[in-house]
Amino acid sequence: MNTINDINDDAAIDDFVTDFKAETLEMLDSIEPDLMTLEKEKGRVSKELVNRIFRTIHSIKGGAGFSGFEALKSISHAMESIIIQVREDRLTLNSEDIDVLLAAVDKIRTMISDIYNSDEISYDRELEALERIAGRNECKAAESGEEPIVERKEFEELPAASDIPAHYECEEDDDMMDEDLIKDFVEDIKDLLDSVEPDLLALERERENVSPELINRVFRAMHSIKGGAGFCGFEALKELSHAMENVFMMIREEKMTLDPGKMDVLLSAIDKIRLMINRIQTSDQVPYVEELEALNQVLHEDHTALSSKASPPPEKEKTDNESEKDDAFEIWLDNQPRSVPEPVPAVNARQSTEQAKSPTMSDTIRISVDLVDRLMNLAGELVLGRNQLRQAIEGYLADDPRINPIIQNVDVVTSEIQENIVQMRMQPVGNVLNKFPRTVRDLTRQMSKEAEMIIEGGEVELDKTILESLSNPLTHLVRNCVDHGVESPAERLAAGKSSVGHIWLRAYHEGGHVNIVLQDDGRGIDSMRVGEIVIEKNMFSREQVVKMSESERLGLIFLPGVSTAKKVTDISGRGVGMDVVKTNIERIGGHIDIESEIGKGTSIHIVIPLTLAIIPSLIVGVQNRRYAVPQINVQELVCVKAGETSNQIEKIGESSVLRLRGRLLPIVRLADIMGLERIFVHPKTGELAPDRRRRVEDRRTPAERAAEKQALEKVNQKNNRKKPDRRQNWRSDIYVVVLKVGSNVFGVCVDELYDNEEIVVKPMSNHIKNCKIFAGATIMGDGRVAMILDASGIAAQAKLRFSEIKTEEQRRKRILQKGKAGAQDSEQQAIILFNNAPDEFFALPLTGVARLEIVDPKSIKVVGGQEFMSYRGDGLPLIRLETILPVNSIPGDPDELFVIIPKTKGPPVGLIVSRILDTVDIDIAITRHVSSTTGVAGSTIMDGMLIFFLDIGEILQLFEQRIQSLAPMSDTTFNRYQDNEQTVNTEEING
Amino acid sequence: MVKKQFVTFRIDEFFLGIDITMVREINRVLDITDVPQAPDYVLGLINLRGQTVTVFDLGVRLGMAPRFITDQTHNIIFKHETIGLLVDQIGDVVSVDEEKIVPPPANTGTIEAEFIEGVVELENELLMILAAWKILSIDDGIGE
Repeated sequence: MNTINDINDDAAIDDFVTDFKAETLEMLDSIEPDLMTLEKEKGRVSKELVNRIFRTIHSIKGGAGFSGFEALKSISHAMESIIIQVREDRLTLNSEDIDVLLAAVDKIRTMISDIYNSDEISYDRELEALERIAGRNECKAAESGEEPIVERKEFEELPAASDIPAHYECEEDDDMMDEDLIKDFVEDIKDLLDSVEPDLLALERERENVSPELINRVFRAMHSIKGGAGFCGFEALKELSHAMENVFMMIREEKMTLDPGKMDVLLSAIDKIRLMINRIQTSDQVPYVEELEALNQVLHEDHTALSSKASPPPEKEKTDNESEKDDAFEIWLDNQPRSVPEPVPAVNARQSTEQAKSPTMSDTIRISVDLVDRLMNLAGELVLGRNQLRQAIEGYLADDPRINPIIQNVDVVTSEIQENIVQMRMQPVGNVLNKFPRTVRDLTRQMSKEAEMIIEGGEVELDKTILESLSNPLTHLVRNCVDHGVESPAERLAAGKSSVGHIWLRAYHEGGHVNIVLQDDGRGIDSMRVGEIVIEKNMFSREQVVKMSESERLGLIFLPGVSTAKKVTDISGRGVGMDVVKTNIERIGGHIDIESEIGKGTSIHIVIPLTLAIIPSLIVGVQNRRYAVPQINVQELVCVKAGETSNQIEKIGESSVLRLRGRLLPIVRLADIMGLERIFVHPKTGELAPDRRRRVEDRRTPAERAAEKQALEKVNQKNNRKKPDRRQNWRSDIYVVVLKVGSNVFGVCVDELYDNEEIVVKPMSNHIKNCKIFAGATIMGDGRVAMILDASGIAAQAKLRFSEIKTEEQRRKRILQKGKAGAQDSEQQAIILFNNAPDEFFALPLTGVARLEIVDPKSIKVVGGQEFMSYRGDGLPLIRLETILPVNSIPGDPDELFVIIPKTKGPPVGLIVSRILDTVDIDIAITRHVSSTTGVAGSTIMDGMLIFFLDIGEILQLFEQRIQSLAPMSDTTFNRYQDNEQTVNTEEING
Repeated sequence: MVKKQFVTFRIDEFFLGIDITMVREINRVLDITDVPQAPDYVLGLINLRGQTVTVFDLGVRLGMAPRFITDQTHNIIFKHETIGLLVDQIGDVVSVDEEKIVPPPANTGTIEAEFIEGVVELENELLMILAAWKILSIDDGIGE
């Protein structure tokens, strides 16, 4: 065991499981005190705490599920199910429950310490106890949606450790292999495995027309592994790689083509090899029968040309039933007559290992990350020392001409050292990204979906620590992408997309940051649904959600507990994932944004800094205090001249805003954020005095100013000299640093702007961790400590109302556009365009229309020769144009008719038309024809159509005349109507 | 007999001590950068040879008035945490028999009792021994 740990501890070994182990142990350490607190607080549990516990367990579960540690997964799943109930206030834990949880934590710890055998550790007792707690609530409240944990059964059948055939416990090699040689071998194979995996996926894609180069490469890699293993005496490893080699041989000789089932077998064999490599000294004890058997089955199947392709991939029948296993084992023995004592010549093996090794030996060395980190810190200190030195000797530069070149030299060298060390820590993002095609493949197979991942920009380099902390959030996102984003093939085809989903993962440089974009062409996220969930969970009121912009609503998905998934699966759905992702990305100084279009797909945009250790910052000053603002957040600097304040700064609702090139930016004073008393530098004396202005835009009223001016004049007369108004003094200029947090932009008013400086971030003590407005501290060139501002913290602290201001901004933009349009063409008017007979077009000014209705012709009633329709519980008299104007009538027998109800002073009437075509803005330049009949105001030509403008007043008049011409009326409606029409008409005439 | 050594200092009229094994150094770096919005007992940060140290106003921490910085003011820097305590005046290092340390009396004056680990009678004065862990602990507002 020690040797394994030694290898695992070797920092050069970069392995998911090792990371997972370390992370989980760390998480377990943090979860224990949290659980205790939970016990202490009982009823009044703080949300933050429960969320933290939940996140931790969820991460463990996720990691375990992902790495295939079933036992670990199911126990953490059971824990999670309890915590989720606590979070939703459906369950209160007593001390005994906490005991159970802690026991489960201990069990997880045990599993972690022997991770590869974790599935064989019995945990029935813990699981049962956990289930009892989780189930308790279900008895009480039957409506709770929590599913009882069902996985347990299958785990009871897990084999005990003794089930591993004794055959494989080979003797350790006695002729002590050179430790270094083995280590090299391990490293080489890791590299080989890393290269084999993508090649394999490519093989699967190409299927029939496999390029010989590709298959040769895979074959060579396998052969090297086999050779190396044989040489070093790792029998199990050799056998497995030999079997794989055989399969590749078949493919190379075109006797076999790969299908997904076979690919599963090969990939799981690769995983097993990886596992063996990680614990190389005891690799012979790793059970690998299953894989070997599966491989041979693949081989056998094609070899004997049984071609029963319908048979499911053997990996799927994961029955660990003992008798079956033994059978399988025998089959394997039959099939492999030459496998065990395979005489791989030692010389060959050595050659092949050396072959694989030689290119890496010459130009790279492996260094522990710890060493690089230390070097990095020292370089940071060196930069600091240089800055201090430069300031200290500034005064002597003139005295001694020799100093300047020296200091310049030191300058350059220091910068270069720093750059190079930063470079040392840089690694291509491909290292992390390239594992995702495999993830996507496995997940899609599991969920019977189809998706392809396209990676771009794998060569973009990132700081190693950032890269590492990026791996987990990205895994989460990719998993979400496949689980929620990509639809099932049937669904995709129905939506007119190709059955194979596409997931793009792009990395690129932009503005000194690395951008990573994960995009899919799946179903997208319904922001309204996210809103509904948030309302359901009482996190926001409906009102708040309605007020939010689309992107703000989508952003809600990052809140803890929010998930759009309808059911909780192994992969996702608890609503923790995105919360963890956001937290992790923000911890490395990054930012995450989400965009989505329903039916089109989702795009997640992550911006991260190149490195964490040194950040270029702008130094600003407020009341003799200096603060550093990371350049990543600074968008621009604006100086509002003292005299122009009122032009550029105003107030909207409760917020001060800065008008900047047609945009409105909320602004805050840094001093207010800091809770400092505001002061200004008195222009006359240079003294500091308290500033009494309440807001940035505050200026004296004209009356006050006049009074002041008079007073000033009096003083001036006395003193007989002139003093400029303080408000015109340059000292009263307002400096605004425009900061960007995601898509939100806001301004921060500061007193002074200093230089840009590269600062080294120092961690903050826990006592000041709660000051969200600071991201950390740094030591300036003069040795003083300065705080680093956190832009998002400031925005949160100032409670900036971005949405309110954005709405106002949009409103103004509209007015502006309207104003522009108006200025260009003041004669424009909105009209409604319709026709009666298909080739005759009519128009009415939209402002004169009260309502539009659709009516079924059958529902029109005729009373005394006049048509009526029912409208608002009353009879609405209808006008047919052809009855009063010399126009063609509505043709045929239409299914529906449109009724235009014009604004009238009296009871409404309706104008029947056959179709409403459009509403358009149009020039009112209308020609009034000499021949125009009453009822037509004029005509115009638009897009080749002759359009008649109707005069609604005249039409009503005509209508009235027509009614009068009809048989004597006794209908009261008509009388009333007539009376009213009269008044309207008088007005029309008068007007 | 086990002897224990304490660094002694004064806050107002109180004579206090802290286990010397917990102390890294005592200095007069008083160029303190304040941290707005920090808890009231956090005075600010100092630069201690390239490391930032969070300085507490021990007076405030113990529930008394804020300190005035005088020419007697010193910082006591902890060994394992980057935290310093600003005190009015520094005294001698005293050796005390561990057995002579008794639990604090119920009435410790203006100092909150939980910060006192024990008291010991010296020749002419009562030395109160600070509970360093309590001073370093973070109250996140849950218990208080």
